[in-house]
Amino acid sequence: ADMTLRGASLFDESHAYTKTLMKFGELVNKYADTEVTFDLRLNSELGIEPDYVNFLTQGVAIDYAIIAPSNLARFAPAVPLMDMPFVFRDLEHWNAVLSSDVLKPLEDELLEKADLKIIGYAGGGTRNLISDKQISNLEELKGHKMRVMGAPIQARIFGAASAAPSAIAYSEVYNAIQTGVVSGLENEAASLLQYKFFEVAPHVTLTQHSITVRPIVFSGKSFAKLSPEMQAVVLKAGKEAGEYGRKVESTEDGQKLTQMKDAKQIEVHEFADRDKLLAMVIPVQKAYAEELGATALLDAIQAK
Amino acid sequence: MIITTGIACLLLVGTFLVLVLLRVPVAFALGIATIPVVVLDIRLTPFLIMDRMFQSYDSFILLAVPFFLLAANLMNSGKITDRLIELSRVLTGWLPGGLGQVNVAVSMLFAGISGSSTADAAGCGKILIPAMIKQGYSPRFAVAITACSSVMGVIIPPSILMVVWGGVMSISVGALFLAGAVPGFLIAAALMGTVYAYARIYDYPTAGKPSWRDFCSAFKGAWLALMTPVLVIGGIVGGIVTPTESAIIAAFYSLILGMFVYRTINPKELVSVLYETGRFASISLFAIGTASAFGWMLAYYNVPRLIVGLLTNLEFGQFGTSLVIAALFLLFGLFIDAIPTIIILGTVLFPVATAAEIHPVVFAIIGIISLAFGLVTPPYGLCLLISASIANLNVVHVLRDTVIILMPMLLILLIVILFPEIALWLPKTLMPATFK
Amino acid sequence: MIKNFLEGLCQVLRVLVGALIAVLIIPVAMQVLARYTGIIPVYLWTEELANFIFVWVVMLGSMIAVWEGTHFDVLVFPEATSRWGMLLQKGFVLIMVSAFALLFAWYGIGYAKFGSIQSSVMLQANLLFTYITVPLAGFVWSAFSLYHLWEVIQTFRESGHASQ
Ligand code: NA
Ligand code: NA
Repeated sequence: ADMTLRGASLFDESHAYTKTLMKFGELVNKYADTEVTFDLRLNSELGIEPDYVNFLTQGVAIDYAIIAPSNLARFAPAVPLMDMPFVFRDLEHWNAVLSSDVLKPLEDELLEKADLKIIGYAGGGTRNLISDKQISNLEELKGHKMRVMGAPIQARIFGAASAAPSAIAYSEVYNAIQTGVVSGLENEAASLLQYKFFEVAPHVTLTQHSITVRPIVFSGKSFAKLSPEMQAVVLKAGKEAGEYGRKVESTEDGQKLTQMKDAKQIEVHEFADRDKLLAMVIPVQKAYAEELGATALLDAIQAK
Repeated sequence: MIITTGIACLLLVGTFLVLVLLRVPVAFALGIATIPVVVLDIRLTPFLIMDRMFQSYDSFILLAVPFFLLAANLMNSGKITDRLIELSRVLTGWLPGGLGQVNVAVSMLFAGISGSSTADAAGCGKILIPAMIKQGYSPRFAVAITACSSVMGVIIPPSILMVVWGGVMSISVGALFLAGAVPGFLIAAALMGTVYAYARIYDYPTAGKPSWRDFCSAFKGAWLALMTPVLVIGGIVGGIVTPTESAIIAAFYSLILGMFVYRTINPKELVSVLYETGRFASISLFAIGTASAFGWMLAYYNVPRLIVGLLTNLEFGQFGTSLVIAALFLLFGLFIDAIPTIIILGTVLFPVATAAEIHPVVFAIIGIISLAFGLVTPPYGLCLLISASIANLNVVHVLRDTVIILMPMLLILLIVILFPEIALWLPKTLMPATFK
Repeated sequence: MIKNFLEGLCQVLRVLVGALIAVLIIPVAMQVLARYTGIIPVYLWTEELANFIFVWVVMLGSMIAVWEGTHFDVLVFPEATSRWGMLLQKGFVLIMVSAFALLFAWYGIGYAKFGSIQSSVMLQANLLFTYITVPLAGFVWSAFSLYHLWEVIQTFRESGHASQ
């Protein structure tokens, strides 16, 4: 019988996440015996990531999407630990973590609490501060109103870094900056380019606080409906698509930043006090992991 | 089963139209219309109807709506409206059709302070409609001019519709505010011309020549109220405050004027103002929720893509596309409230406008003026309903006068479509950074 | 008896809506004060709290409007005046609203449960606190609209007796 799987993406075809999801489709059809049709809806047509999470938990409207861990915090508070700010030392460390199964406990928690199955990991963008005024040191960061993703750890870390974070829906960020609700956000180059945040916030500060981890999430309810063979195919394709996506974004990230810089769309600033920032943030990371009973996990990530 | 785009479109729009024609409240009709596709399509469940509605309230932009209404209601109950009427009387009352001119002028002043047309129709209408009837104006004309002039409330800044539009489509609210000013004044001029013509034909009286002393006392009474636009528009255009904050500042300012300066609001009245604001705001906001569910269903079935493809293929060009956009907003405005229409139709037409090289700000102004007309066009015209109920008239009776008064206003819409620079000039001059 | 109860319920809702609008001013005013005067620090939870109150205002207001019959409708055909006409016109509207209301009451329970397994970002509040408004609205709309439906049928019956 014919089979259709449905996905959703915030972005257009040129974004690494969309490329990852399209690759996933290709790979499924490569490995599966039957023909699977993929219906991938782009450009936030069906909403933004928190909406996708709602759909996926219920097994309605779509079957898979790429979701930022912070958007899963509502259900499984520990999940955002997988890419909280300043957790990875560098790309190598990040790669080592994602190539291992150290995040398995978080995957289990997500499956148990929200019936969501992680089938692979994309990501690889480096997140920086994007603001409507220049920020190049701690003094200038102090009290800076910025939008953060909807997870307590995000708010706490940037709060600890002396900024004033607030969790605003992604679809309202552009307007929030323009009308002065916040003065900026933090994001990776690909999304900055796609959503043209630089039109309202042209200053990019190289805090390099996160290297993103973006799970490819499959609805548990949809997954259960698949045949065992198909489940195996989805898992294999998801893992490989994730690897492909990580390679794409980690190579494109720097290029996109340079591209916007050369087009005079952004002004890039170094951040003078990154070490001090790190010192302010580490205790918060530790305390938060302890609250969640995830100290062992955090240690395991850092030991990689 | 899985429903195709065509059938889904037919089911959604068809069910909605049938329900609305049979007088099911619009907010419920939008929600109920999503049920057939949800039942028939295996991929959808009732969860989606509730979820799409509920999540639409998670918005800092919509938070501005109750505060703008609160500010307007406080102006009415604080008798600030009366002072504005008095000022309008000394300014325009001596013209032929005196109280008619006053009605237009006060709506213009009110529009510059408040973002709500319905509050204008209710507040000014309550005073001016009886006064006009007493002076021998036909009640039908009094109701029609009150309703038609109140639409300036959402065209002249500040404007609730512009705040929502800017939020939904990521356009500068400040630029929209400025872009609405000139078209708004042109509409005021068109209305005053219409009143003049009426006065000549039906021999309507003037409201008397004011003395110098009248003029001074009217100005003295109203100048504090006239500072509100400076606070609100200046604050937003200057990027100092958010729309929600500006609305709350305006509300506080009106409250202080009403309680301590003019001493016209007492605590008991304040309680009823708070309740009325909540009641009225939630009725329109609730409709936004079901409209979001409806709009999401349309998007799920690719209806927007279909419409965009269709309209883009026709290649009407800039002028033709603008006309189609205005016509669609006018059509929707007949049946649905303005804010839900922005959510359902505005987002669909945005790419069409972009493809036709219509500037986003011009697109917004065309949309908002067209939607403003929807406030006075039956079957669903809130301002007309409010005005008619003040004079105990049925909407049907004031239809002819409303249409006559709307004609010159439509002409202004056409002129803005023909010469978009009318809208763009002010924001381009004052906010050049937004237009680079 | 039932009517008094429902009217009393609506009165409670009215008081709540008025009070919540007043309360809604607080977090937003705090933001303004924090940002422009520095009298109080920038609190991170004000926006979230404002949104919670906002949701409650909207949903409670929608309930009041069902009881008062003030949700906006569109007048295309003239109002029915005959006995049967009134029964059919008003009856149809109320049956439709009741159906939607019952859908919300029934599926809203599941939706509230869906909220109860989530917690908010800033306040770490259990989201049952806001999601509960969905089934609540469902039940209250149902009660209000079904009672109005019963009234319409009563009026139909009584006018039948009167005309005989
Ligand atoms: Na206005
Ligand atoms: Na007027």
